[in-house]
Amino acid sequence: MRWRRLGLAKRLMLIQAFLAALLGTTLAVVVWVAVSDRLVEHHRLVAVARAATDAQAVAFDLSENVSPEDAMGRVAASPGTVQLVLRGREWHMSGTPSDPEAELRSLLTPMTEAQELVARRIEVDDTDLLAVMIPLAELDASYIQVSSVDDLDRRALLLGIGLAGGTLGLVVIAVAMGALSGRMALRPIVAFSRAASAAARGEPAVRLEAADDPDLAELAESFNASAEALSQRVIADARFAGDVGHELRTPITTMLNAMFVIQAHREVLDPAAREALDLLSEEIEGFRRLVVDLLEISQVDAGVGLDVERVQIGALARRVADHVTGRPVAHVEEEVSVFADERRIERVVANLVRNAEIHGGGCLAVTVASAGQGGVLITVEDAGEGVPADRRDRIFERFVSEGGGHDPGNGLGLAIVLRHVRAHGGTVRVDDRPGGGARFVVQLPRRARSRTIAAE
Amino acid sequence: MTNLLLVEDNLRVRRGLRLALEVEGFHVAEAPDAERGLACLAGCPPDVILLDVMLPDRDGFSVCRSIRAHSDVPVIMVTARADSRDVVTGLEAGADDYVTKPVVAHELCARIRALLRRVEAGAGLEPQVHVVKVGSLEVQLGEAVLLREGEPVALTRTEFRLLAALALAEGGVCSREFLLDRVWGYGHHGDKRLVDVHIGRLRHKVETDPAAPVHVVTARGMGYRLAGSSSQ
Repeated sequence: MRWRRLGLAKRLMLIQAFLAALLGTTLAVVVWVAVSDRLVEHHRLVAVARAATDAQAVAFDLSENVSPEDAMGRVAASPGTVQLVLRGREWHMSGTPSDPEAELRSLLTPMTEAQELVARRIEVDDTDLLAVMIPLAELDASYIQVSSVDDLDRRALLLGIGLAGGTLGLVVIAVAMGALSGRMALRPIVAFSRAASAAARGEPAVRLEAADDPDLAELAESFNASAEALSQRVIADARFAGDVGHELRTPITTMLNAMFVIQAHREVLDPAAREALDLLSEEIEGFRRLVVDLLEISQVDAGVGLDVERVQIGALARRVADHVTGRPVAHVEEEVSVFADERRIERVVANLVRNAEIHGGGCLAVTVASAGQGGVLITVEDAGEGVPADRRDRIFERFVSEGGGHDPGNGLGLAIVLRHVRAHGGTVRVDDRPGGGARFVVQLPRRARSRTIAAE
Repeated sequence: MTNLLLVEDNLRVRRGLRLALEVEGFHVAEAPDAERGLACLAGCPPDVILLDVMLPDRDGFSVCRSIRAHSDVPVIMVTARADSRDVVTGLEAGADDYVTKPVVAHELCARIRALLRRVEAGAGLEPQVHVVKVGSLEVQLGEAVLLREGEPVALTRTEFRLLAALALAEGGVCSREFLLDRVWGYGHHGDKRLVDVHIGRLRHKVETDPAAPVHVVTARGMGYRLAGSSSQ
């Protein structure tokens, strides 16, 4: 469970580190065993060769009746080396004390019983020593050199440190390589997830770059095929809405103008006909707004580019909001100018304010505030019942009307808001106003990222 | 009575618009295509032309260029959409203003009346100001004549009113909103591209090098002004 939660990159890193540690340790052990054996063997051969040479010198001196102490004294033994001579049952030892301790004697005595050269590791007072015994047969004596293995231990220690360090270094390199390869392996997945979320946000032109890697090429191809199919559907959808709008525009023009002529002559109609005329007139006006909105949506969906210039959002919000409500509702905390499509932002503010007036029990305030590097925030608050959390995404969809109110609207106002804001690279959301009602917050970047998509 | 020429191919749309415009007090001549529209123009010159972009025989832009070749009669282009390139293309072809479909009579009325307004002396200006000189240019406000090095320059009515609005500011900067209101009668809701495209057209007629204007200059981020003007 926990392992799964680690994530691919970390798992790759850990696997590489574990393998490197295993390999490093195995190699270190093999090297250690091989080299330390060779070291011991080498040390033994050197000690034996030296002891043999020294034994010859001592044997010569003893045959000339020199005392064992003097004979041993003439030999230039290496430091830390103790020489002993056993003649008959009598022990002689170089240096002071000249009499070997009982422990050493008891260890060496069995060696002297052999008739040929003996080299053996012995331990005295927890110290490792190497004893080499050479029988001096003609003199009925034995010559013994006892040397320290300190030097050997030191070299072994150095070797051990070197091997451990090497193993550790290998693990560190493996972790780094693991992290790097994890990131490299994940890079296409990161690109994929970015592309997928862009597609989910409704950007139809998102495609993955064709990868050289055959493993990834298939993924990229299938993603691109899906994205292409999706964008074809989006384009077809937008084109359908646009076509419907275009087709309806012609009869609407005729109806509006014919209605205008009849309205000009309304005084000749009887009261019932006048009332019917007003009904018809209102419906035709609603119909006109629907067609205009439908065309506006289809244009944005078809990817018509932004007409970007420097826009003072505070002045724009005040102008539009006060005009729509007919009363001063705008509150500009700070004038913020951003690069945006002025006409579209006017539509955004007008639609949000109109939405608050129709569905939100009246617009309470329109606030403009700077968001620093984040651009500008436009907040529209109303006095209605608010929008339930589960409907907050849905109300920005086409033809999802909030209901309520005297004039139900055509269900396209907020869809247009969402499209214009997104076209600027901004965001729009709705939450609860402290104290009741809904609060729509539009964030626009300092500079619109104009994602102009070639269409039609 | 103001005479309008309505060039529109759809019969019912054309008749509906004619009836509504007649209620508003205009006299309307109809033409269903470019050929008959241009023929009408030659017959009895209208005061304003309403020109649809999509016509069966030719597109509205080329018709507009044909009209401009020998007439300065105001042209209102009827375009499919406000966002599209049609607007700029139409204005560059010489149209004075545009409306988008669906077109309603009272909206058209406001546009037509704005285009037919005469040049008025600016408020607070001395009534004896009749001529403004800018370098080699001489703007005769009363006569609606522009002289360049003594030679008259052919400007459309809208171009002249734009120039006059700049001239009456006496070298001061005119914002695009101000010019939209002054020349086209739009409040704050006009399309600023109207101003930009007309300024471009004006420069082509009054500047030696339209790319490096010395008379009609841009006040960056603020608007336009007429450089070095002096009134008499």
